[in-house]
Order: sequence, then structure tokens, then C-alpha cells
Amino acid sequence: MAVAAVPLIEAVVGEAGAASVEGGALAAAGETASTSRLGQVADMAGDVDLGDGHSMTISPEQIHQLLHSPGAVAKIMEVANHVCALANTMAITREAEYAVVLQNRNDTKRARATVYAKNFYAVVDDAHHSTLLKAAANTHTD
Amino acid sequence: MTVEDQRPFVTIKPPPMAGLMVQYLTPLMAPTPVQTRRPKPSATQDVSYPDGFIRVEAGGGTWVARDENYLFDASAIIHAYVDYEHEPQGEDLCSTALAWGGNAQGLTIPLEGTDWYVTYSRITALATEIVDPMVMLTRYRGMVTWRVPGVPISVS
Repeated sequence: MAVAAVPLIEAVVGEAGAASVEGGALAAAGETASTSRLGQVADMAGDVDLGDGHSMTISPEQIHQLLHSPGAVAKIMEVANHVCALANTMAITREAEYAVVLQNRNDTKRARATVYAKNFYAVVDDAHHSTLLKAAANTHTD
Repeated sequence: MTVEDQRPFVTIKPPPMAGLMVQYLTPLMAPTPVQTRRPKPSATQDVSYPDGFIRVEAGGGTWVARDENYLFDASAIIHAYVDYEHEPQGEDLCSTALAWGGNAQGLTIPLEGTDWYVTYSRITALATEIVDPMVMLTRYRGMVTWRVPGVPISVS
């Protein structure tokens, strides 16, 4: 998946800088676990002490941009669509239908996709058979 | 030459989560019964399960590496049932079972002659109150996931 390179780190002091920048760009390759970790990084304020006299400054704005980037959204939707397809396959109740909704508002930290029961048959189906939990459990997340 | 003689790879069995969870939770949750069937409350009594009732259901899972069947992320759905008007007890019961399920890593659980080692465990869905249309009791539902190595099996 192609993700546009963005400057994640505003300033780096010391020789560890180049490797850290590369690592940050790799972590942004769209994997859900990685985006979660990036969200945690975005919470860091000010300089991050890397030890041995090295430090760096995280750019929350650029991480916010990355977590809402088309590549990240595409990966999130890929996983959500897989969970949804599984749920629709596993559903036992007749006419039960599950669907995906994407939240990608700019005032939130990251994009999120939700798989939900689209009709009442699906609500009943999930209450009977825990279909959504099973669909999530049967989906690779790493 | 039999088929077994020709088999070039080891047969790996994934963890049977419902059985493992019943085995693991039963002593921890006593006197609450831990079973795989749905409870059958009395139609005429207000109190059928004074200690609650826990049902365990296999949630399925995935293998960790896509190209080998060695480590599995396997889930178990935990249902905690209590009599009506005992919702706090039900939430506590479900949360307690989830807590034990989420802290199984490092343990070996024997089940029917096989030892299953839990390398990693976590709670993957917190207790949520949601009615079970099949049972006239209050239900809380959650899920735990264990990372367990598969066990080699062979024809003896």
C-alpha cells in the first residue's frame, strides 16, 4: 500500500535521528496495530528522550494527518469490510444484515470504522449467537 | 504403506477453547457453575441461580503467522447470567471471569490428557449487558483471547 511520506518528526538531536524517522515512516504503512501505536505517540508532548543524549520532537499535526490519510483509511476499511463479510456469512437469523460505517472526521484523533447490525434481524442474530464478536475474533489484526 | 506413513508434515491441533475455559474457570468461579450450555431458569421461581451461571462459548480465532499452524489466537465468549434485578451481580460475575481469563498467560492447562500452554492472554471485549432471547435471565457478555501453541497429534 502506498502512503505518502510526511515529516513525522520535526526535530531530532543526535545520530539516532535518521533511523527513527525511517522507523516512523514504516510504522505508518497502514497496519491497524501500528496506527494505534501512532495514536499513542501523538499523545506525547514536547521532546522525547531517546537516551545517550538523543532526543526528538514529535509532530502531532503530521501524525493526525497520517492517521486520516487515504492509505490508513483504506487499511481500516479493509479490516472492517472483512469483519462485516464474515458476520454476514456467519449470521444464522434469516435476513440479518451487518454493515460498515466509517468515521473520518477531522476533529478526531484517527479514522475509525464500525461494524454494526444494520437491521433488527441482525440485532436479534447477534443477541442469539454473538456473531459480531465471533467475526472479530476470526479476523487477523496484525 | 499407510496414509500416515506418507504424511510429510506434523498435524497440529488448535486449542479447544470452550473446554479449556471450563476447565480453567470452574475452580476460580466456584460456587458459580461454569458450563457450555444455556441455563434453564425456573418459570415460576424468582431466584433460579443465586450464585449466577456462566456459559462459555468458543469464539473461534486465527493462526498468528499466516503461513504456519503453530501459534493460535483463540477466543472464548463468556456469558454471565443472573436472576432479574441482580444486574450488579451479573456485571461483577462477568468481569471477574474476564479478569481471570485475561490473566492466564504463563499457565499450563491440562485437558483430557493434553497440556495446553497459554503464552499470552488478554480481555478482548468487556462485560456488556445484552439480553439472551433464549433465556429469561439477565446476561452480561464479554470475550477473552489466548495465544496458545497448537499441539502435535498423531495416530497411535
